[in-house]
Amino acid sequence: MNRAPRVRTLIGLGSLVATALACVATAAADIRAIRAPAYVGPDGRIIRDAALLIRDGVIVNIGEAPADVPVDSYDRAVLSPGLIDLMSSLTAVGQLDESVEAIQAQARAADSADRFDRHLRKALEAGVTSFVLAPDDRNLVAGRVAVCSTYVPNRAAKFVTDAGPMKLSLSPAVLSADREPTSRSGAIALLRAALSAAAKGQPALGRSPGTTIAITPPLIDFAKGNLNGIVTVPTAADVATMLGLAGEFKLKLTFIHNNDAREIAGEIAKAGAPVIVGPYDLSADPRTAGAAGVFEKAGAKVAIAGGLPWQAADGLRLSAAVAVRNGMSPDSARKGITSVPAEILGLSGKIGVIAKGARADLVLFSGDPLDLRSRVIAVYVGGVRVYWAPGDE
Amino acid sequence: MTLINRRQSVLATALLGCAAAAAQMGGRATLIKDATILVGDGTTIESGSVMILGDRIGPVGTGVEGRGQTIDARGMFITPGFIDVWSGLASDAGMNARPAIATAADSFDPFAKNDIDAALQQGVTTVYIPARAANGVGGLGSVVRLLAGAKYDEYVETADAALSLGLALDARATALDRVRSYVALRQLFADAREYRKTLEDYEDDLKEYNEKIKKRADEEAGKSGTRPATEKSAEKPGEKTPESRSAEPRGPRGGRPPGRRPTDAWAIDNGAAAGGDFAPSAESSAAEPSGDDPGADDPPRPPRPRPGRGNRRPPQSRPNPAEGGPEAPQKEALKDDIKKPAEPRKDVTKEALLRAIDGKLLVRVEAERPEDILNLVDIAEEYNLALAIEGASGAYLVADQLRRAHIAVILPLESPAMMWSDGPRRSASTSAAATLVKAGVPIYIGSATSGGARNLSLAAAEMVGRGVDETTALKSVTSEAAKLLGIERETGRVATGLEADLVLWSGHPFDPASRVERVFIKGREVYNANKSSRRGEPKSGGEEDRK
Repeated sequence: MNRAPRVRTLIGLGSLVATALACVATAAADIRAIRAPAYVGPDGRIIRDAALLIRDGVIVNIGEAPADVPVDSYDRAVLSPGLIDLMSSLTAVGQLDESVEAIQAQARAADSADRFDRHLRKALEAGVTSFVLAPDDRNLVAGRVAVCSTYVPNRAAKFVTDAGPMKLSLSPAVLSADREPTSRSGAIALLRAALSAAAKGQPALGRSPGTTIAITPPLIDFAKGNLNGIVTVPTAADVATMLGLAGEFKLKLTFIHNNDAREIAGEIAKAGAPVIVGPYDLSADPRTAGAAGVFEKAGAKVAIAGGLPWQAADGLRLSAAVAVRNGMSPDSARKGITSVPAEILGLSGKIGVIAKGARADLVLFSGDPLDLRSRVIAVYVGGVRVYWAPGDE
Repeated sequence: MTLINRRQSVLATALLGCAAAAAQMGGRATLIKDATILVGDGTTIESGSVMILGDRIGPVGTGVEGRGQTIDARGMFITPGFIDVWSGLASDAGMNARPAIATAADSFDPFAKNDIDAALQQGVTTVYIPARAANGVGGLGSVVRLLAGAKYDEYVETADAALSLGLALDARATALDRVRSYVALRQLFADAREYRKTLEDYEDDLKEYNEKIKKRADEEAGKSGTRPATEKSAEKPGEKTPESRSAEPRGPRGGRPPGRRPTDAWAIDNGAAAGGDFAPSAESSAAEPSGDDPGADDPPRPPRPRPGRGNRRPPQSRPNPAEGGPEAPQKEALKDDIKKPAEPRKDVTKEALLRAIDGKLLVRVEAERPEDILNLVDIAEEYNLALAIEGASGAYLVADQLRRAHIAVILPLESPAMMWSDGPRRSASTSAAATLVKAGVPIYIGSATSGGARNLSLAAAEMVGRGVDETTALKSVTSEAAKLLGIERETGRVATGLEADLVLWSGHPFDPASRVERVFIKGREVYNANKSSRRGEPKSGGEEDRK
């Protein structure tokens, strides 16, 4: 991912000197610092005294900022990485529910995104800077998810920023009377056949009667462990099955929709697979909302989903707060809506973290981001302040 | 919005109660020491202590000392038990129209321990359960304390906390449906007024009738000068006694008492109900011995438009030939020219509506669209109702009208989703609560139908994040909530003399990282985080077999 805004000065002229000068010149033009009394560190803890130096939309230093750099200074605020909602249908409600083919690894959720959706702005103002469009649970292999930005200032702006992991599902919604698979065992058999065809480099998988399933590059990447997979696993048995397949092939997996997977949280942690929990709302029961803490204690990496737009714009923070109230540690919860999602998306260190080299997608909250009393004061995307709450200055 | 006055003596009793008295009476004394006390009325006591004496709160403040069990609560917070003013917890009352004898308390399941524990675990100790109705009168909403496995009289705080009315408006309601719905609603109140007039007329007629009877009897007595005639006339009032008694087995309505602590308006009637169907008879028979004096106590108790649980029906007047015997001709002669007025049929629903019209019973209606809310404002003014609107997603758009009419708004704890809806909740806004508070409208939050009373404290915290000040948010789930439900003399604050509904939090209740450590209801510990099996712990380390 290399999303740093391109230098806007006249580099195009092209001489060596000009380029060298441009670097200096743009450094002077596109450099700024942000100061706040505290920030969310890479380990999720709130650390005192934030002074970030940002060049070309990327965090280049944390600590002292040079005196001659323009500074945005905030009192009584906590600086957080921009939040990432891993399970969203923002801009594409109802457009991610394709069920005709069980395996459609070539499908791209990005194609259903709508940059003109007015909800994007609301999500941005709630501190969500990136969200993931993921297909629903009706395909065994549903294609790649899309990583999108909530900040879309104009038609030319980069809206879908990255192609994310492969989405899979073992939900009963996959089963259909009209096509393969019609049963759970059929589903697993089909998935195994497709994965082994992909691993062997076969171009297609023949199925009776006379139909074939195309083995496309994304499926090959997934089968060879070059592409993460996010799997919907309604039950602990589904997790066990997928862990088995992950052993047979070289799959890298993340588990989602895991209401009962907590029963084998230890195994998930041992396999090193992250888990996506939520979204949680205020009526979440203690068992469901307690899963976040269970996975955390078992040693698994836990991301928290917000479920926009089916919740209020601050649904992601609400999910995290409910997870904390039901047993998750605050530090892990802060990571669960920032750095862990980035890791699952293969964007570790690039978004979702305040660290050198990360894109300066930042949110200033009036307090701890997990505390629902906190408000959003300002939002930065790529180092540019794109939202400033009314009444705050 | 104080609707109901209740026991007042308890305050004084408990104030004087002190540890000695409690100890003597076998009441336990527990001291929770050195916590930050959020009283619930907006005040905070730093490093304060609370004494629990039996089922009540004893001294509160700094430097409170005492014997008995001591809980060191340094760094912790004490709040009153939170109150969910609109809850579906452990109850399924359905949406049917019912007579106002139906109380939501009857739909509460005190053995739904998981649901109750989940609420306690979030510091909720009291819930209001509505008698929801899709149309018309849903019945009486009830206030319930979350005492799992307790007896009805223990967990039901107020069986008749409010009258639930429903508008017959679903998501697809048309303009005509609206017209019909409001005609029907107004008709309910108009009919209730008509009913009151009928009762009053009956009362007048009955008085007149009794006077005539008495006059006639006096005349006859004067004419004949014989004792038997006097005796007969003196028996006239007494005649009701056997009649009403004999009526009992025929048509009693098997209602149960409406919970303890009747409101003032209920006091007499409830006493009667508690005494069963025989209370009126007892009253009459008490009058019998003095039957020598025909003038005293003879008319039957006037059927004042008193709300009633309805076992107690005024005596029926129906021809009773069996009573005839030798006196029959004489009675017939009396009845020929003096006609006894027919008693109107008792209607519990109308009597509840009359209590509402008198402002003695809060009316609660679910309504979302601002237009519907304005219509309800009109009806409330027309019939002098104390009104609270549930749901009320569009209320913030008519905040000024609501403030002027002193109408309370109960918002659901779940915030509206971003997704636009063309249904009745289309106006829903996350800033609704702040707008209403700024306009001076009393607001409350309730879990409505979504999963009971969970996470009320986080919902209150969320209101703060959306622009409501912290004090108002806390009060809306404690002291103000208690006032709305008419139980402010019982609970809702950490104050001496109130019942000891207390929650001990590891930190500020609005901080998601805070946990509920212990919960007391009426001085009884009903939840203890360290004793209860911790939810969220894995059962095993993941050694299950697979494949």
